[in-house]
Amino acid sequence: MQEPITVDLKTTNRQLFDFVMRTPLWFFNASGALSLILAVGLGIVVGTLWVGLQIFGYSHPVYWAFLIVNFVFWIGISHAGVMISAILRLTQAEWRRPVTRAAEILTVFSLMTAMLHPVIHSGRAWRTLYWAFPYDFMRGMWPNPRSPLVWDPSAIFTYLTSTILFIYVALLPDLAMARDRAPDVVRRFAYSVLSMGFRGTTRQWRIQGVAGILLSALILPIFVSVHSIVSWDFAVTGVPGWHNTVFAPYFVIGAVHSGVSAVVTIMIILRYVFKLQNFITRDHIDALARLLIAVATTWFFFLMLDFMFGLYGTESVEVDTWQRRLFTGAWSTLAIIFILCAFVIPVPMWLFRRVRRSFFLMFLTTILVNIGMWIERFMLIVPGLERKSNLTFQYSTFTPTFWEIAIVLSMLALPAIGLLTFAKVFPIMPAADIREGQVVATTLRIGRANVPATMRE
Amino acid sequence: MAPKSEVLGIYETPDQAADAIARLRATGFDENDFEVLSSTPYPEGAFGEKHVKHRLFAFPFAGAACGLAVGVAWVIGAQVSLPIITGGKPVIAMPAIIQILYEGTMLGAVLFTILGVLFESRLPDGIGLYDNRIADGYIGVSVMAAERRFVEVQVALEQAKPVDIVAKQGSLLRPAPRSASS
Amino acid sequence: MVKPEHAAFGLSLRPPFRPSAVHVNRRHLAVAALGLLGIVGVVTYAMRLFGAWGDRHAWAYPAAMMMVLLSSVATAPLLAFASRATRGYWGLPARRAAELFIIPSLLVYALLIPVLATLPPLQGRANLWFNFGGGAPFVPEALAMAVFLLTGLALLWVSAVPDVAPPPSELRLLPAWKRALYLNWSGTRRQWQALRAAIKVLGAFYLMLYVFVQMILSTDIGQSLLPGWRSGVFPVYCAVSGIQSGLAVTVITIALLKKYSALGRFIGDEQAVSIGKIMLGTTLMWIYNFWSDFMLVWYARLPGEVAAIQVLVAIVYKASFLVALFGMFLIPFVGLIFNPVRRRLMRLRWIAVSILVGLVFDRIRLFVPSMTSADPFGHYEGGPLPGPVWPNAVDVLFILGWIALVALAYLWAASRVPMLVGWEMREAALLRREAPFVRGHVLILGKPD
Repeated sequence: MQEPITVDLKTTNRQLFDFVMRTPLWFFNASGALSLILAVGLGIVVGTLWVGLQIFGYSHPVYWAFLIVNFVFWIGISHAGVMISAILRLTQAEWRRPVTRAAEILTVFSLMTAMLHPVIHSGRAWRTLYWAFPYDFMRGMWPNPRSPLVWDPSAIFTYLTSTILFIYVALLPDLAMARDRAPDVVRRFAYSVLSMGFRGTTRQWRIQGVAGILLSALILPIFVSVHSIVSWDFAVTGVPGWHNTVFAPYFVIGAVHSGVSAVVTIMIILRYVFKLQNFITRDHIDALARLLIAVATTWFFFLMLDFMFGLYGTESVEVDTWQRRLFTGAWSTLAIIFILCAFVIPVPMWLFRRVRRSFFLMFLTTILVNIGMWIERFMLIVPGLERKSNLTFQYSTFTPTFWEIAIVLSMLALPAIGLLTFAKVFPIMPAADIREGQVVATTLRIGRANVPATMRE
Repeated sequence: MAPKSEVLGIYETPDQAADAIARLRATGFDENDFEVLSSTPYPEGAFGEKHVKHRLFAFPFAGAACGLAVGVAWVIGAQVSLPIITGGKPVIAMPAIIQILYEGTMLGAVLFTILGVLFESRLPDGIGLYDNRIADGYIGVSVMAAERRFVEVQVALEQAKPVDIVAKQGSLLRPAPRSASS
Repeated sequence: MVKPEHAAFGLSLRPPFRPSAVHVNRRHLAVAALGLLGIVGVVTYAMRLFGAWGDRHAWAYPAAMMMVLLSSVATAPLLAFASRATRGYWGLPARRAAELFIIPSLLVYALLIPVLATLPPLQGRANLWFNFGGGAPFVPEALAMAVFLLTGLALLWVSAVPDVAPPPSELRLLPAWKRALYLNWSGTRRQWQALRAAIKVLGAFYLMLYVFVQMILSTDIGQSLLPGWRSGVFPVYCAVSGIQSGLAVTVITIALLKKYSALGRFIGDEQAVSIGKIMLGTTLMWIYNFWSDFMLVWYARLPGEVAAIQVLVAIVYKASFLVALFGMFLIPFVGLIFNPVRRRLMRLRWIAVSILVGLVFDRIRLFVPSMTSADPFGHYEGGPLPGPVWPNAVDVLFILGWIALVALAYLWAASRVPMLVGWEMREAALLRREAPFVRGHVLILGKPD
């Protein structure tokens, strides 16, 4: 993990703040294209509010489909930020430095994207506030805190708030640097206000270090709880295929799997787009790939637990649900695609060093993982609902419509725009953290070998 | 007490900055009178400064207690206020509400931790002297001293071979100072 | 950062530092007491073996004890794997102390066979083998456990070779089988590379086999025998609480080593800082896995599952559950969130004791009701819950006796194999240095690829 950064501190600052301080033409082109895609999606959403949910493929009893799958998917993506940032901070892994901020920002915008979906899905979006907030005092409409659908917004709100504040605290030194480099009065003023006068005193650096550890330790339990609570939306019901106590850790580890894969994808894109070759090296994706092997293997174990304990009680509805998931019609094709994409293709490839250190192959495999994980959530949710009722005349099959597919695809643009906008205003890598890494990096001479080393207090 | 003003020495290397600190100590200044400013965190004690004492760890506990209290009030208040028929089952059921209590506790802990970070970092801070060269990797040694001790301070800082010495009125070493901000 | 003990920096490389095995004073009161209890353990085992073969009720507490051993003693070597996988220097003085627990783990096999012999056939009850033939569960269980324990032995053997092998000049004079036992060790570059690779692979396999063995054993001896009990997270719960207990056992061992042995000069708070964090993490995982199970059952209100929870948690074995809750979660959590406890080895050991006490009661409440269930083939129809089965005098003596046997087995192993991994300590001495930095001091940690 030891490719040292070969540029000096001044060049580090210049490269990391380059995109913040000046705006290349491609930024406008990219923003425009992404905004267009997002506008299409939002247009469809507005249309849904006007026309109603009948434009989606819902049919009794399948009322949770693409939008809920996408909700779970984006919550999953959001888990990577904290996983990488908090856990690697706590373990003092040096290779975390270039990766943490992009992962955290991905968390924030993924969460925001995820939060939109239940709101769209409800049809009457303005009434979803009843879920979470004591809204209508006059009619006595209070949220029901016993419902997992109320636990969800409390967990997501807590996670989102904590992540934003975590990012802000870690951003303070970089805001101070941006203040010092701002080319105009308006930006100088804005960064001055945001940085709150951070000067880099010994005390302030010490508190930064302690705060990073403390907030990491606080956010980790929140990150585990969020997707566990999302999993309980399904597990506490009696829908076939959903009632399994393993859902909470299964969802969390699946989230980490898809989230870390997404982070790798994003890092490779950032490296290419922002020319960060000095900071994102093959060592970083190699380390992330090794992490992914462990995570993917654990996820596969949980998948097997879900499968085995789903069939364990030999209840006919559970057996039927699994049979349909794996062996019936289109579901069987999706099952094959999902297991190939999420595990069978990428994980054996990652066992090879050459693949782990190839930006192109890592980019491809991590996208495959997320395709597979999206299908996994789809297969988790819909087949059970198709046979939810005991009455055979209420059996149903789900077929997605163009509008649902369009919303799902257009929502990819939302975190992308968020990331791009963030990178325009703030450095996408923690400059102070990277500079610290440069300061503490050293070598040990043992015989004729120079062994990379780190200084610790 | 005589009013104090700030003087800022800018150094190229950490050794020079540490040297300046040592000379200031020798001149009779203590920890409360000077600060090291850097754009990069250095290992604690690198400049010979004392261990920073703080109470940051107390804030999450206080926040957790407040968050739990708010969570309890919200959950119990909502359920008591909503006259749903429970068929004889308890209105307030622990397993159902623990999730929200937990999230409230954690949110309170995080919010108070953030407040603690700002408090312990002494932020917002708009009164200190600063120089943009520090952002480029130079190290600043900031000294608060009474007017009558300015010369001592300047001598101590100069002996450590600074790139510049800056005060409110500008550079004390060069006739045309680079932009300084406070 | 808490620095390593000073002794770790002053290791001699020429001649190379080679820790010796501990000397166990057989006449010491504690050892004598353990010996006596060990005899009691063997006697009670023989009583069960010859007087109650095939009697599931009689083997209930021994089965619980077997799961305690699997979840503590057999898990301890994972600490060595974890610290090697993360390239953490913190685990150095604890690695061999953890690996040596493989020897007392072998005692699990002595309990496994008679317990398996009490299990009813698979047909007619929920099981993980889906009524597959091939001798399930007996044959796959016995095979899996054998492979698991042999992997652990191989791991200990491979990691110990550089420390116990005689120098090449003496090795040449030994018979061929002994030379093979020492892997013909002479410390060539190729041998070191092969050794490291073997340790990595064996460690990874040990972890995977541990999880697999926990899954099948906890299901076959637990869930499968109690009608209505169906929980996908239960194997995870057992595995993770096992890791928590394995850490606890290792902490107690290194704390004793520090207090009573000259090798203790290499052990200090540096170990506590990292092990304490992992212990806090696994403690939180305990409540997380427990809650995932309990909350779902409470919410869904399926009668069979509720009955199982009432037996295991809420009513029948409530006392046992409460001890487990306090021992494995409340006390460790409250203790470990405070730095002054988590970062001090001698305080951490009391948390470890609490965890182990909690583990014993936890495994009793999980496996005694299953092993004593009246009708594993039944379905819960809303009838009365079974009463608790308390241990009799033989059961209590059995538990105490087998704890003593574990301790004796460990002491025997520690008197044969050094309790520190000398070769890794020497390597670390090359890669860690204290150095001045400007006006302060820092620790320089080498991180070779």
